[in-house]
Amino acid sequence: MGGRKAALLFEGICLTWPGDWQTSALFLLRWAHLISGVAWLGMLLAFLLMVEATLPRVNEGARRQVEAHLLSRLLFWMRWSALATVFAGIADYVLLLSAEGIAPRIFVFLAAWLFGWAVVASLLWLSASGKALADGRWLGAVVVLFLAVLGWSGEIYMRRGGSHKTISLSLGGGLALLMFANTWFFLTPDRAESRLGLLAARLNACLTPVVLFLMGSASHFPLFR
Amino acid sequence: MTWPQDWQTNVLFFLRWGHFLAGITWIGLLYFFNLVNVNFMKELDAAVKGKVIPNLMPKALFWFRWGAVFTVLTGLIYYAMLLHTEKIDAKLGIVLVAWIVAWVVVAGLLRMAVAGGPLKDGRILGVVVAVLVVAAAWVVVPIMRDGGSNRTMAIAVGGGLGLMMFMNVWMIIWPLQKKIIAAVRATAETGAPAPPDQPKWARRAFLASRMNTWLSVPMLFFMGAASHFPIFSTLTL
Repeated sequence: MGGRKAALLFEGICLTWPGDWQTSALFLLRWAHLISGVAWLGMLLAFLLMVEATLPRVNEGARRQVEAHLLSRLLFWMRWSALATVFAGIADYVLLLSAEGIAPRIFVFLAAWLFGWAVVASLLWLSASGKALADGRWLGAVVVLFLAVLGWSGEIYMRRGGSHKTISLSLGGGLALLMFANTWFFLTPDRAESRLGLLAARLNACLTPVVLFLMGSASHFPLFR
Repeated sequence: MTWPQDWQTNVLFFLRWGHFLAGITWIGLLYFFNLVNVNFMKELDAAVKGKVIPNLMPKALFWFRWGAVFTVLTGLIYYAMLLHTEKIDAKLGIVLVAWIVAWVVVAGLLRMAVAGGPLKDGRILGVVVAVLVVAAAWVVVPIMRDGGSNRTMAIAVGGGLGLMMFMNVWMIIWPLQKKIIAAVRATAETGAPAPPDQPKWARRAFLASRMNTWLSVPMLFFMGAASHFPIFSTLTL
């Protein structure tokens, strides 16, 4: 009787865990990637609201308390959720690349975008120290132009042998890798409120819609090929 | 690069993109409130609180609640389009009613939790809410199974959780936060004593916010599963 009832309930909901380990691994990584990615970008938005809208309006004492208790904790969560996001994302990407038989390209991908970050970081530093591109609009234009060229080269490189999905992720993931490096190098407690930190945070905020477009298009909008 | 030409792919994808961006704004700020802000508020002097809360909270809450609206709107339109392609449009009403009923029960539980009794313990409240949510999913999934795919079944659960979270924001968290911000501002500006009910408002808003944080985890699971994890079998037994 009890067994019959249980069977009926099971038939009603009809839950079946997909059997092959690869589907499960890909999806559990994706789930972790979603949760930590939401946390990372939410902290970024909260950080910008805080330093641009709140801190300029409070006195020195309140500011110190906000920095000591709130900002440090916020930056802690931002850094570590960024790391979790990138870690899960890269693991997922390696699985996808090996399914297409082009796993070694992960190294080209990482090297190209870390080089890209080094260039962007230099531009941010030049601008923050007032040596060149002090005007944020010029800085933005040069960064966009540079990233467009880098992305274009990446797309041409990935087109040979890569699917729409892995091409799209190489661009979205590459920009996200750049945001990750910005987070770890410039959004530390001692740099976050400097001009350099603010520029890095704003650049990350501007890149977010582009990254999400490319991340979503990988599975849902066949843009490449 | 070739832009997909049919309008439906475009509309669906732009809805999805907006849904991502607004959802990250909403749930990301929710994580900020729960992981950072709650502890910060405990450590703050009353005088500093009077300065920081009226400056920070209205802006963060503005992005938070309108992010929630935009997320739910884009999600509902998207879901209605999916149901339409599966020719089960009418099921949207059933899903909405089921989750709204579940939320009404949850809202009652939160009031009871603030009044006292066994639900005062947050862990017991959590277990009761978890049982209720599973029961609601259990009602919804078999209804969707008749004619629905893994995709529309998974969203009936994930989207339902999102809908409950949305109602927590607009019917509980935001109305109470408005009262709290006004009271804190009045205390800071005129020295008026805090209203006697203020701790209860804060507690109920906190419980709804914490519930949303926990619910976001299964919510994202089912949202992702819709396209990427065939967890609901559509085999007819």
